[in-house]
Amino acid sequence: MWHRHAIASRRLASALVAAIILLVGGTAPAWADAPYCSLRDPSHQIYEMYPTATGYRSVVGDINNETQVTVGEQIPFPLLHGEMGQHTLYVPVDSGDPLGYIQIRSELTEWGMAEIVWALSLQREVVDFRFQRCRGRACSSVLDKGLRELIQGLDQDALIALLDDQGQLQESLAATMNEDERMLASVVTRSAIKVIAVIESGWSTTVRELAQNHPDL
Amino acid sequence: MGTSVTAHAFRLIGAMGRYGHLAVGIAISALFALPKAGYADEVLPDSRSLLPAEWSENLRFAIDLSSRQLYSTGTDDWHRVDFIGTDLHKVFSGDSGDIGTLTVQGYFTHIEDEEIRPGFANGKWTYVYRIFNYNHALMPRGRMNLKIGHFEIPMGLEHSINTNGTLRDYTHGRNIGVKADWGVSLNGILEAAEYEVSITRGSGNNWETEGDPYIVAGRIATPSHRNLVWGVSAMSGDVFVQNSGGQTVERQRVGVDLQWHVNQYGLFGEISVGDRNGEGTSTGLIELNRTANSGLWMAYAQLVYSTLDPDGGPQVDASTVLLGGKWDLARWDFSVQLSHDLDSFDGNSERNLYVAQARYRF
Repeated sequence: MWHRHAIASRRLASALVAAIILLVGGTAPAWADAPYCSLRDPSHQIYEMYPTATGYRSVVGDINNETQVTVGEQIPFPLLHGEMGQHTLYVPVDSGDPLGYIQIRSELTEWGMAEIVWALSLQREVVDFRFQRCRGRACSSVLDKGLRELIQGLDQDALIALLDDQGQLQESLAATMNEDERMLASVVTRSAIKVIAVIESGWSTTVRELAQNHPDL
Repeated sequence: MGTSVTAHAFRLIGAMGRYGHLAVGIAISALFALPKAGYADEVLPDSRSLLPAEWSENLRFAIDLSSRQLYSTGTDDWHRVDFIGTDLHKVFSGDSGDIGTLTVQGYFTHIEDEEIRPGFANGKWTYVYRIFNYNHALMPRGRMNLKIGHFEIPMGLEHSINTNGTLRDYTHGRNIGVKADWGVSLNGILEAAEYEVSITRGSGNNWETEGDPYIVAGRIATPSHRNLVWGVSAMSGDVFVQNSGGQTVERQRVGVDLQWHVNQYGLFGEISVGDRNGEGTSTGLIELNRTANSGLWMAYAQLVYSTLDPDGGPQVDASTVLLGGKWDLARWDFSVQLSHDLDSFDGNSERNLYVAQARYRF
């Protein structure tokens, strides 16, 4: 009898502790990331897209509600709740000199979540991109249809001009693409627009500092 | 010089003991976490941070809580395991780029029932480091880094798919005897490959010297972000046996592993052969998984198969089939796993194990 009471008391105490912890946790900021031991830098892609880079500098930033609002004002589609949280901006460097920006964006596609590694110039124009994770057949075939060449060198305004009213890549630009490829090309173009807005809003201090310290670049 | 520093570091780790580890982990977490809390809530001004700003930059910190309920037909009873811990990730940078990364994952681990308590846990509550290491850049372009501390043995699928704290698992337990260990490694990326080679204490969570255990292991693989990834691994060592009075088991393995991703599906496999105290052994695993388009859930099925060639006896084998799933819901994730032994080595009873876990990070 006493043993049963002891077990019940212990379970009640455990439940209370759990409830208090969860209550405290409930007031914490709304971001929760995957366990940090699983974090991987896109090192391969950084050195592929910036072959002269000797290293890169990480800048961890919070994508919060404020960033969401700012980005929403800047581009014609919203930043989703799942895109909030802590993210890393990578600045590839050549013997200490910054070469540009690298950031990974996760985008929803027909074939699951795609991760796109973006390389931007210090002026936030598209230098290049790589699929870090993209599981559909169109992920490789769309590159043969000139998507990379279409968006390279473009800034945010020029990228927005590639899209029609529904946010799809304009039909005239996608003449050689099949339906899947056009859909993916639209996702990639929207991702490019978004990554520029996110970097300018979420890492404004870094962007400002690099522009001030390296006006010639 | 390098060897001397490593030897001193090892002696220090060994001398710290259980409570030394605990104190160091809590101190590191607290020092980094306090200024972070200030930033997150915008309550504490920067001047009240315990560390200079450069220490609280590039910092991720989370509190990680989880609870597992297990029902085993082997014990015909329910069991519970709870984890309360902190997860910290700090990148140190200089003008020439990132210099190194510190990762600290320490958990108060509560295992109520003695019959399922692993050897490293000496009480109901034990402080356990899943991961505690510093990875320092030695060469430009990530070609070579030096890692020191407690980290996963670089072998097989586990090396690129980290399953720490999840129900999903690969074959480290069967093959090596430990999942993570204290030691040093050289790791890096080359143009078409990733590699890691390590030498570790061979005693898993706790630092043990009795029987002079050690593990040397290494894996080289194609880049882990590709849709087709394959790797080659090998290990050799004398692995410490918990609560055995200093006994070790001699283990050697060589293996290959493969990951193939098509649309939302993944087909993973690994196979290794070697010996255990002079007896031939092999282990194979095949997994088919599917991830939702949204990435919010994934499900998997695994088949694990092992053989053992005992001295003077016929070969025996064991196989287990597992089904599992995981759902992410904001700060929560829920996972379940069912395992069923199809066949087991002589003397071991075949059992079913049903496990559910709720995890909460903030």
